Amino acid sequence: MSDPITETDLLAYVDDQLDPARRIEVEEHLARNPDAAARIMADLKDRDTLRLIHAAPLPRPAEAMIGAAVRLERALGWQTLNLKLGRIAAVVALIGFGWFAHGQVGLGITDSEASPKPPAFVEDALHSHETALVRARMVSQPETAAYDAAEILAATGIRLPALPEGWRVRDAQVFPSRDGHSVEISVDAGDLGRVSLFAGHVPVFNVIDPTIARFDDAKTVYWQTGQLAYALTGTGSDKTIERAALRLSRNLQ
Amino acid sequence: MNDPKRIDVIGLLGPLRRYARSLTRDETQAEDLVQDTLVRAYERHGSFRSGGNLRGWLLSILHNTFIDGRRRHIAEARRLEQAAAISETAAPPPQESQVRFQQVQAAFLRLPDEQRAALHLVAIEGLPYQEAAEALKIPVGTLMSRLGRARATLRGFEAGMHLAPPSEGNRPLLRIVGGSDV
Repeated sequence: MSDPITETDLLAYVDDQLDPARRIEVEEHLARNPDAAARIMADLKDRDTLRLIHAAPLPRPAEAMIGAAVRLERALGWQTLNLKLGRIAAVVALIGFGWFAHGQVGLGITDSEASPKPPAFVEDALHSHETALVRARMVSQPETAAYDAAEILAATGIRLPALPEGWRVRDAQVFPSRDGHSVEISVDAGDLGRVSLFAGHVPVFNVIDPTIARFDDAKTVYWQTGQLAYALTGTGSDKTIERAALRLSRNLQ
Repeated sequence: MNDPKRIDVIGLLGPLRRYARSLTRDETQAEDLVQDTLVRAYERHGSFRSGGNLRGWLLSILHNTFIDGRRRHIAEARRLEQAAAISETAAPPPQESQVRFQQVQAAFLRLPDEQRAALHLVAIEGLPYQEAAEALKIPVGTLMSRLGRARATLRGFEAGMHLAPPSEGNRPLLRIVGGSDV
């Protein structure tokens, strides 16, 4: 038995705003109720009459009206275009920054005797850390504080460590990377300040213990477990970042 | 015209002018209303969401411009005069269908403003209920109850049952689905 036919259904029938199944139910109802059917026919007739009356062609609009319409059209068109240009400019700025940072990475390492040349993913980590800082400053790039390690693992195959108590996730983004996905989590890490935790797939299986790499504006402690690489980037002291990274790497096991 | 992505104001002049005619019941005022709407829309074009519904946005500005009352009083004053003029334009030999057209149109023009606006957007422009309700800034339930009353009045007119403006007495029994009727 279908839902009883309401006044709303009858109105929506006249206005042709019912789905076909409901139309059929209304038609069954009307077939059994001649009074209601007559009323609906009158409504349909009035509707069609009004449409016919108002379908008469209008005289050509005044020049002033066309002028105003064209002006509005241009303003709205520019607005749409500006929005697109704005997006393009942001992308260009990020790419430009990437080139710049790319050029700086090799020179920026100050501790060359103590640390080996960092693997390529450290560069990616540094870039996504800088991107996260850019995003944090941009109003039009809403950050998402929703951080679901289980969902990230299921969707990307990247296992993330449990975060220490007191760390607050500010943004979590999945990026494309050369070997699949990478994840960048931006965290307010208490007295460490704003840090980024990067995790991603790498092509070469390896085990690297937490190792520090220093750059002009940031430090990264990176490590690798099998095919997954991690990097913690921030601006705190070497010791605090190393300690935090060790803790995270242990949380993974 | 329904492609929400395309900025085509010229293509929307027809719907805007027809709606303005139904609201003002006066051709000259209708054209002025559309002109004012375009100027207002230009002034606040920053409020248009890119990719949003241009038709709904413009219809809504037009409606607000009308409601603002700048025109309302003049429209009221000329209302009867206009309704009379419409009946007088029946100069060519009135065929039966023409007489009926005029009756329906006269009944439509006598509807209260808010019922006429609702019926115009839904029945004449064919807007989905949701879009019409947004353009009028009312809940869908309110829109439907206005439609129901407008239709009941038109039926009454045609049946020649009464020629007076609709009163409380001939309200159909209509359930209000959402929101209160304003």
